[in-house]
Amino acid sequence: MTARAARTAEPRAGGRDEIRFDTSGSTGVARGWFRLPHQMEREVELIGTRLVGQVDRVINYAPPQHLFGALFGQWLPRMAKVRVHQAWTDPFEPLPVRPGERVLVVCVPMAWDLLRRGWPTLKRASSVVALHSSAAPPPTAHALVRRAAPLLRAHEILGSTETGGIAHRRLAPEGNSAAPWEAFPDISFVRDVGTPAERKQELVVRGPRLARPESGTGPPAQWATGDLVRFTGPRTFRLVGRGSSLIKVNGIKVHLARVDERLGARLPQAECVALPLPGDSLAGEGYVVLWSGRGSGVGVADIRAALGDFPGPSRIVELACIPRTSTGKPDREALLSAL
Amino acid sequence: MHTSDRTSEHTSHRASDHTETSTRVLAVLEKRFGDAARTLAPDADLSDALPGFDSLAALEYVTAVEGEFGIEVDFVGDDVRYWFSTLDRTAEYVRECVEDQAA
Repeated sequence: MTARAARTAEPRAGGRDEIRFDTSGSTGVARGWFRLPHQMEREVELIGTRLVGQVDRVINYAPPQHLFGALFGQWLPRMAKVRVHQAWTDPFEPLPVRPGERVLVVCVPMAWDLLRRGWPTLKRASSVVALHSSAAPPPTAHALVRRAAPLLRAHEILGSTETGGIAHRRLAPEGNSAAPWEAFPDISFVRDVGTPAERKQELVVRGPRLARPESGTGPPAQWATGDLVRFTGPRTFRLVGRGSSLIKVNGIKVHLARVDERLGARLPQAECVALPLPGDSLAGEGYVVLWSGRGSGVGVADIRAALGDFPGPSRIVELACIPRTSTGKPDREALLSAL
Repeated sequence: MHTSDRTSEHTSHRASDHTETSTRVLAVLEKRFGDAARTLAPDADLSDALPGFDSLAALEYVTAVEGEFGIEVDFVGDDVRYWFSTLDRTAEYVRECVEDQAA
């Protein structure tokens, strides 16, 4: 899509009202974030112009109650006046691609396996651009990019509900977890003056697309993302981890500390520990629940039921007992070695 | 052997295959859903009967069944939503897939 198309798009029905998105807060309770229409339009215009280009059809695997799905599965098709297939509602539905179309695919991790299977249909397109956001792409993504280039090109977007898109990079055929990210032009970074560039630090951003928190009268001046980075240049950085227990399962935020709390509260007769499990083949990132509760009557189904609407764990592993360090904390190394 | 005996043997063989396939499909579900899968009725709708059987879990289920039986599910030609909606239908789909491969 082009900047011109974005500027000439029709205004939304309902005026300039804020749009609400929810995230799971640090207490586990949903927190509202409010974004203005001009922020949505600016983001679509920015990413549409820089990364997507002209498209005739959008295939959207990201539910629009999340920012990424709303931006590229609703706003972009509306602004560019192109057809959209909401594939997230039924991921098994055959892809409606006509020969010669220019296609944008809005991807969550799960989408990549579906794209791989649907590639005989997709390759009728004249070009396919995939946008992938905010969760580690699964190995299938890299394999498909390797197999289908140059017809398919894919871009990763780093961002969040709170910040919108922060930075981007090409999704490389060989896997590129160490490749640097490049900031979008309206984003600036906050870091301590004089901090050596090679030192690991939290990514703190400023920009015009930050969302207003429910409790605030306007967007914050800056936002600490929780991502740990090393700056490689004035506007580029490498991600080196997260400062919290946050992971993103198929694009949905999961605070593993909240998982532990939930299981502890609902299944007090069992000991449960949730640990990140990177490289899940379908969900991108995942987690494992290790548990011990022999004789307590607790089973795998109880753990799944207790998790409620948390995205399900990749694995649930029963142990005779949960190994602990001398300070009484779960021994992560011993737990992971049990997998 | 009379024709009716051969038919009877064939029918019995198919029934035995179907039971074995169903058992293996159930094992795939049990690995992920534990007790909830163990008590599953063969014709129960998986998305209703299994907590957390969302679209990602459904895709994981199809992928796991493919791995278990060494088959490739045709997402374009076959109605995956239908064939993978219950234990019985999955077993029937798998059995036909395996038979096609062997032919």
